[in-house]
Amino acid sequence: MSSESIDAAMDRISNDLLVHIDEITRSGFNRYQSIPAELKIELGPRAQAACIYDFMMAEADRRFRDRSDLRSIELRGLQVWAIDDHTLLRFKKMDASGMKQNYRTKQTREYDRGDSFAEFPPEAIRLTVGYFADSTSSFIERVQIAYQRGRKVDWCAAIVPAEQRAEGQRIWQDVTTQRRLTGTG
Amino acid sequence: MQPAGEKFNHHLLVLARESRGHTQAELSALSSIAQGTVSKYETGAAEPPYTFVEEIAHVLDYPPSFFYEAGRPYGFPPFHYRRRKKLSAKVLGRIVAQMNIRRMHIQKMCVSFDLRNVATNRIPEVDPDEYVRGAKGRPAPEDIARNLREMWMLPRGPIPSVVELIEGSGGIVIHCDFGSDLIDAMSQRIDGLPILFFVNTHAPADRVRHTLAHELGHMVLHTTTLNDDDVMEAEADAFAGALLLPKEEFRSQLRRFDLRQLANMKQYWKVSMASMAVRADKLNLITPYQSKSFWMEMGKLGYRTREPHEPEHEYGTLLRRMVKYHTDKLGYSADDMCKLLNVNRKDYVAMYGDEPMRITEKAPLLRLVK
Repeated sequence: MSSESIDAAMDRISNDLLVHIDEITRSGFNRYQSIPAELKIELGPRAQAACIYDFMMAEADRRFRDRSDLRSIELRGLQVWAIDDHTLLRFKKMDASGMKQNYRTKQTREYDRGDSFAEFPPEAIRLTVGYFADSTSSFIERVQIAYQRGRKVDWCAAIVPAEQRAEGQRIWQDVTTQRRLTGTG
Repeated sequence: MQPAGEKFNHHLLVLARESRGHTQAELSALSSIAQGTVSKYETGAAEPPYTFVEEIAHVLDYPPSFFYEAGRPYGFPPFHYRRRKKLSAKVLGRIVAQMNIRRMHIQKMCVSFDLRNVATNRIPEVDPDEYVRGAKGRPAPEDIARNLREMWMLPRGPIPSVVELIEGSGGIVIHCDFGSDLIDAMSQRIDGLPILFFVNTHAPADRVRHTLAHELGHMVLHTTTLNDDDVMEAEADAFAGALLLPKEEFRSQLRRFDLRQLANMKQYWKVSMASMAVRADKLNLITPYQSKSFWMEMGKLGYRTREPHEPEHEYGTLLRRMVKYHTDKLGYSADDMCKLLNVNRKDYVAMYGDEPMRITEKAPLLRLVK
């Protein structure tokens, strides 16, 4: 599995695709929010994450299925999207640092460790697309793309929505959490 | 010209002055009249000449006929104010004066508008020493709220509109710009009039619902029986909690106590997360530690002043219907309405909106002048 800088990895994904990724994530989240409140009361955080995931995947499938630069790969229930064999993307809920928040399944651990699978392009960087929600889990604070290796997030980029972008501003920005210096606690 | 046979009403001089937020000294400075003279006329110690009335009417922007109306202002019982403690006497005086003026307007409109045609229920006065079905011993506000829900045949679940409920029960909700966020609502029960609920237009919608339920609690619980202020406040709060969040349903839904679940429940019940936390605490559904953590988090997120998922604002329609009845059914022109209510046009538009005057931009329902 390749190890790349945020600039190299993010600049390789086209702006058009980043816009789609942002919209897919928000649409999945917002569709969940449109569920009537009396039903949402009965759904726990796990069900919420699962619903949003399914809504995101359905939207991704609608948007990506006919694109020549993308192909869907499913491996034992783990669905990822390969961009031209250089990048793998999977969707997940994450915290502000880009760390995945759900229980880390076997497939997740294997994906993050970079275990080799015949179905995955060997040189592709494995990224995770996710949303970081507010404390009430009702609003998206940021749509992020993170590069996690093992239990460590190397870097995290936020996609800046068009309405928040200044003229000439890059579509993504680095939101990697600063690490503490050794010995400072 | 002085209205023939009419007597100057010194109470209304105080009311007009306070409604504009002036002290006697300020009024004196704005006019050619000495403060001592103003004081004598306000206390009724001397009868003012008509030239004084004309000048004061001009300065305070009321028609001279206003000062010859009959009646007296009513004070509000202190326990019927919410969040009143930091409110200055001057601001409170101004608000109370404005409330009295609105009450006088309603009194006049009720002569022709029959409220019995619109209110199907009624707001009861409960004597806690009287028997209440289902309660053992002296009923708690919880029991009384539950009985009221039954009496009004409210189904399970949230109350869709507290304002509609109150207006359908013979109350009138009047939205006012209090000019301060230190007070959310006041209510007043006066013989011969519907119960009046004055609500601050600037308060968030979820707080308005709770505030109205709280005021309703005062009207139900504290008309026949009075107690210490703090006790009555706690009772009204407990009543509001029980009315808006019935115990059994609330308990079964609060399976997790976190912001996520409270936000979902808020969208269902249209009650603030803060009110739900208080209710959960009162019903011993959470630990003191959970309660403390909740308030710390709410403070950190800035949710103690305004929470997310504010429900839609609820607006009273009865007052507007009363005005519309006069203009559309009884053929009152805007000038006729101003004469009936003894207000100038600017105040009339500000208080009763654009409809009677066909004004396109939305005007505040009541504007207080500092």
